[in-house]
Amino acid sequence: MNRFKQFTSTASGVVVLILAIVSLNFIASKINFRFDLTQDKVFSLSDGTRSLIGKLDRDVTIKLFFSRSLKELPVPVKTYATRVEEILQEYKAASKGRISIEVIDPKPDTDDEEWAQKYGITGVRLPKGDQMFFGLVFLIGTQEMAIPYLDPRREEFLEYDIAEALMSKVKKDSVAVGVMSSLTVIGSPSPVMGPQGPIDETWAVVNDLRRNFQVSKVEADAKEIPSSLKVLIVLHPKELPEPTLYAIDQFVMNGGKLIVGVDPMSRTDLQLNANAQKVPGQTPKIGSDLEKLLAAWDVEYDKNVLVGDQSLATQINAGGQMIRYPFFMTINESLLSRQSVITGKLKSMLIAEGGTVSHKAGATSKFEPLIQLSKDSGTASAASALYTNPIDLSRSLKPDGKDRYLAAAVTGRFKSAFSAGAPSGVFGGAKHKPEADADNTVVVIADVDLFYDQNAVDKFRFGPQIMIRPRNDNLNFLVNAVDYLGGSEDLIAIRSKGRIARPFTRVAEIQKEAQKRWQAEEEALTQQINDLQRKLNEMQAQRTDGNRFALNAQQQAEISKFREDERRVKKQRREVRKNLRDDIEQLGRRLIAVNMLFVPIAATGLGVSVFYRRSRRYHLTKKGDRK
Amino acid sequence: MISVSGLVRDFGGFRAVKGISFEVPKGQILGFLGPNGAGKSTTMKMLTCFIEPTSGTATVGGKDIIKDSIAVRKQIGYLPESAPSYGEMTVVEFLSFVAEVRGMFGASALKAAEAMRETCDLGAVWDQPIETLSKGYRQRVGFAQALIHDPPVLILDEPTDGLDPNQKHEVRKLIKSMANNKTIILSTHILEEVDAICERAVIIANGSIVADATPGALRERSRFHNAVTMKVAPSDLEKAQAMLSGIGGIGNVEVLGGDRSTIRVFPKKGESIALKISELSKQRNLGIEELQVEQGRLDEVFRSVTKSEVKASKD
Amino acid sequence: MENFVPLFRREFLGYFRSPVAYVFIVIFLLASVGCTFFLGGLFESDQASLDPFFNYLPWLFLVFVPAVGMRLWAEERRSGTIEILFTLPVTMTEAVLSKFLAGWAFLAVALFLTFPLWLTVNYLGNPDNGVIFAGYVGSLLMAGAYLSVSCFTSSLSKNQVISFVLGVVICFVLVLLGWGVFTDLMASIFPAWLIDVVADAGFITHFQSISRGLLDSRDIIYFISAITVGLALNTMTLNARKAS
Repeated sequence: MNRFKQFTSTASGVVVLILAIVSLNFIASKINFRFDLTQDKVFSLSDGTRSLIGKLDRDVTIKLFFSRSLKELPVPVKTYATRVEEILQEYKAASKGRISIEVIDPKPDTDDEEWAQKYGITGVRLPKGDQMFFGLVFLIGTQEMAIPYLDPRREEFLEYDIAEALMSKVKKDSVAVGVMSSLTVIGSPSPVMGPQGPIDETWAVVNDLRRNFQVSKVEADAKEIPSSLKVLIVLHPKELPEPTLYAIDQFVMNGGKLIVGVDPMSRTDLQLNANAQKVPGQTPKIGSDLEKLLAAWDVEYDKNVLVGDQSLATQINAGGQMIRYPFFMTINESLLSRQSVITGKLKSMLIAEGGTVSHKAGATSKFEPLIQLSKDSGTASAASALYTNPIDLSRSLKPDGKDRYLAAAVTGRFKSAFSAGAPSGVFGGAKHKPEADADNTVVVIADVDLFYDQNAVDKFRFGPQIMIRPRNDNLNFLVNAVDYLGGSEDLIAIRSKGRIARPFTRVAEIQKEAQKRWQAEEEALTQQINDLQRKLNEMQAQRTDGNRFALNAQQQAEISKFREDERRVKKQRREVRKNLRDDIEQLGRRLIAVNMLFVPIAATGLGVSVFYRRSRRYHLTKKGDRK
Repeated sequence: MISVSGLVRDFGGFRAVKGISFEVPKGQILGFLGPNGAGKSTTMKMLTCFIEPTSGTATVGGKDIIKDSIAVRKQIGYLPESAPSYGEMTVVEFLSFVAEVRGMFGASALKAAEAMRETCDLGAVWDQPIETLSKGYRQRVGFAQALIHDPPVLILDEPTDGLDPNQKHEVRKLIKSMANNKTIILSTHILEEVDAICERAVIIANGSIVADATPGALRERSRFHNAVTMKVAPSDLEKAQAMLSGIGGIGNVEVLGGDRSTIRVFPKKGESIALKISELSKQRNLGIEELQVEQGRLDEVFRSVTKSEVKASKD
Repeated sequence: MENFVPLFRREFLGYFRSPVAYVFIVIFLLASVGCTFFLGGLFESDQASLDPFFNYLPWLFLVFVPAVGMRLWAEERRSGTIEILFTLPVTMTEAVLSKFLAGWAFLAVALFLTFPLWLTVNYLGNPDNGVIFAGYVGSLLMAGAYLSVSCFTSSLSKNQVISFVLGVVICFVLVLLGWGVFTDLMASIFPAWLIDVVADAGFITHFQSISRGLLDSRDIIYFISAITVGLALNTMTLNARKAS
C-alpha cells in the first residue's frame, strides 16, 4: 500500500512537473525576448526599417501564406516560416497599428488555396506531390504586391525584401529614375526564345531598381532629359552627341541628380556588342567618357588608364587556368567608405577592370571617395590591355603606393560645361542655365562591368522561377546611390544587412606573398616558354612558306628538341606554381597541429603535475612519520 | 537522547524491521546485536535519516527523524558499515570536506580535521588518497569523519569489522573514552565486544527485538549461568557422579572431555550450586583438580534467543 | 543552500583528482578539433566562422556528456559514499544541484579549452564573434540539458556503464527529435501538429536557433526546462530509493 502511494506520488509529481514545464514553454512561446548577438544585427529590425514603418501613411495588411499543415515540409522551411512570422510581428509592433498580420494555411482545395493562387503565390511541388505555398502578400489600400516565394536561402535579406515590398507601392511614384546607356541595360524582350519564353535581356540591376523606383529608359542620343526624372543614371556613355551632353549638363544644373558609370575598358561591351565591334582593322571601342562634363564637376578621369590592385586580386579563369587577376578587384569593407550612406553598410564589391577618378587639383567642391584602392594598386594602358593575355597583364602591374579611387560623390555648386550656351543642334527648349542654383551631388564610378549580371549576381532556378541572389554589394551600390540621391535614406540603412562571406584574409595575404616570392622565377620560366614557342612558330612558318611538305632532318630534330625543352620548362613552371599553394597548405597543417596538440598537451602536463604533487606530498609525510 | 517507537521498514514485499521501540538515555553505550540480516543496519540507517521508515518514527535529541531530518543529522556522527569514503580524496581533504559540510569553514574546518589527526592517529597517511589506505586506516578515517563535529550522538555500524586484534583494542578504547559525554549506538556481531564496551545490549533477530538488557543480565539467561565445571581423576568419575546426584538444586550433569574426567553441572533455575559442590566434595574427600563456576555464555544466550526467530523466518 | 559551496567544490575538484578527467578533456579536444578540421573542413571552407565546430558538437556531446555525468550518482552508490553524503546535514536539493553544477562547470572548462579554434578563425579572418559567443552559450545550455539527463540515468544504476548507455540512448532520442531526417520519417505516420510538438522538444532545433547568433528567451527557457525535468527526475529517483 505504502509503496503504491510512493509510486503514485512520484508519478503524479512527474506528471505535474511535465505539465508545468510544457505550459511554461507554451507561455514563453507567446512572449519572447530576443537578444541579437550578431555583429550586423541580422535578426533585429534595423533603424531604417523602423523609420520607414513609422512613415507609413496608409494601413497595410500583410498576409503570410504558408502550408504549415503539410506533412513532408522540409525542416529548414518550417524554421524559416517561424522566423518570417516573428519578423512580421516585429513589423506590426513597430507600426503602431498601421500594419496587421494574417497567417493563412492554404490547405488543398480550399478558398485559401485559391486566394493564394490569385495573389500570385507560387505553389512549390514537394517530392510526394503536395503543393506548398510560402509567400507574402501586401495589401496597401487597393494595391497589392506579392513575394511569390520566400526562399530560406534569402533569409538574410528577408527584412529588406519585406521593407522593399512595403515601400514599393508607397515610394514607386515618388522617385523617377532614368537610365541612359550604350549597352542593353534595359532590354526589350528579345526575339531569341529561351526554354521559358523570350529571354529578357534586362540586367538584374535594373530589375532591382524597378523594385524600388519608377524606372524609365532614356535613349543614348536623347536631346532632352525629362524634367520629371529625379535621378538619371548614365552607364557607359560612348561618344555622346553634343546635344545629349548638353541635356545632361542642364539636367544637373537644374538640380537633377546624376550617377555616371564610365569605363576605360568594358568587356561587357565587347561581349554584348560582339558583332558591332568586329570592324576589320579597327580597335573595338569599348571605353567610355563624359569628357568635359566630368571636368565641369571637378572630376578627373582618364579613359586610357586601367587600374589594378595586387592585394585585391581575384581568382579568375583565364583560358582554363585559375589565376589571381589584379584587374578584377574584390573590394572589402575597409576600402568602402564608412562615412558615406551609399557605401557605409556595404561589405564587398567586385570591380571588373575599371579606371580611377580623382579630384581636380584646387577645386572647391567636396570630393567624397566611395571606393578606394589599397597601396598595392597600379595602372596599365587600356588600349594595350585588350590584346595582352591576363597572365602577362597581371605581371606587368607594378604597385606604386599611390592613393586611387574607383568611385566618388562630388558635391558643389557646379557651373555648366557649356559656358558659351547651348551648342549647335539644340533648338528651343528651356533657357540655358550657366550655373546651378544650389549644391548638387554627382556620383561617378569608373567601372560599368560591375553592374553586369555575371559580376553581380548568382542565378538559380527554383521551379518555374529564376531566383537571383546577390553575390556581392555591386547592385546595392547603385540602388543605394539612387536612394541617397533620390532622398530616401531609410532603405539604405536596411540594405545589405546580410551575412556576407567572411573569407580568410590571412590566406589571401599569404597567397599574395607567395605570388610575390615566386613571381620572378615564374616570369623567367614563362619567358623561356614564350621564346621557345616563338621559335617553334617561326620554324613552322618557314615550313609553310618554303617547301611545304618536306622538312629536312635538321629541322625536324630542332623541332623535336624545342618541344622537349618546352615540356621540361613547363614542368618546372608547374612545380613553381605548386609552391604557391604550398605555403597555404603548410599553414593549414600547422594550424591543425597547434589546435590538436597545444591544449591537450597542456592538459596532460597539468594532470601529471597534479598527480606528481599529490604523490610527493604523501611520500613526504611518510618520511616525516618515520623520523 | 534517542527514542525509537514502532519503527517499521519494508524492502519490496519483505519487512526488514518489524516495529522496533527502545530508548537510549544520554551517555549510554548501546550494543546492537543480531545475526546478519536481522535489521541492525536498517535500523541505524533510519536513525541517521539515510532511509525513511515505512511507519513509526524516532527522535534524536528531541528532533524527529522524518520531520526534522537535517537537525537530527547535525547531532549524529555516523560510521556506516565498512566505512565508505571518497577514495580519490586524501585524508585531510576528505575530513576538511566533512567539517565544512558540518558547518565549519576554512581555517576552523582544517583545525577540526587536524584534531582528528591526533585522536584517530592518522598522521602517517594524512596526505594519502584514501583508496590507497589499508582497511584499518580506512576505518579510522571513517571514525574521524564521524567524530569531527563532536556530535552528542554516535552511531557506529560494525566499527571493528575487519580489524586486527590490536586495532580492535584501540577502537574499543577510543569508544570507551568517549562514553562519558556521548550517546553511542554500535552494532556488532562480535559478542565479546558487547561485553567489553556496552552498558546495554539489544538483540535483534528477524526485525524484532528479542532481548534488551545489560550484558550481565543477558548472561544470567544462559543455561551456563552458575554452572560448575569440575575436573576429577578419571577413576573418581563415578564417585563424583554419585555425589552430585545427592545434591539438591542440580539439574543436568554432562561428562565432557575425551578422558572423561571433566564434568559440567547445570543448576536448576535460580539455584546456586558451586558452594554446595565444593563443600560436599571436601566431605567426601573427592579429589577435585579444578573447579570453575561459569558466568553464563552470551553466545549461547544469543543463539537461543535468535534461533527460534531464525527458524521461523526460514519458513 | 549553506552546504552548496563545499559540496560543489568537492565534486568539481573531484574531477581533477582523478586522471579520468584529463583523459576526458584530451579526448574531447582531439575529437572536436578533428571534427572541425577533417569532417567539417574548416580550413578548406575559407570562411572565418566556427560553424563546422558547432555543427558537430551535439553529436560529440552525445557521448562526452553522459561520460562526464555517469559517475555522479552511480559511483556514490557503488562505493557506498552516498550513505556518508545523505547522513550529512545536506538537503536533497543541495546534493542534486551541487553535483549537476559541478559537472556543468567541468563541461564549461572543457568547452572553454576549445579556445584555440576561436583564436584560429580570428587569426585567419574576421569572424562574427557575436555569433561565436552565441554558439558557445548555446553549447553550454545544451551541455546542461544533456548533463541533467545523465544525472538522472546515473541515479538509476550502481553501474556506471549502464548509466552511461542509458544516458546516451535518452540523449540520442532527444537529439533525434529535432533532426530533420527523423521528423521526415515520422511525417508519414503522425499528424503534423504532433510532429511540430515533438520536433520542438528536440535539442538540435533550439541549439541551432541560438548558435545562429540569436539568444531567444524561448530557447533558453527550453533548455532550462529540460535541465529542470532531468534534475527533478533525478531527485525523485533518489527520494524513491530512500523511501522504498
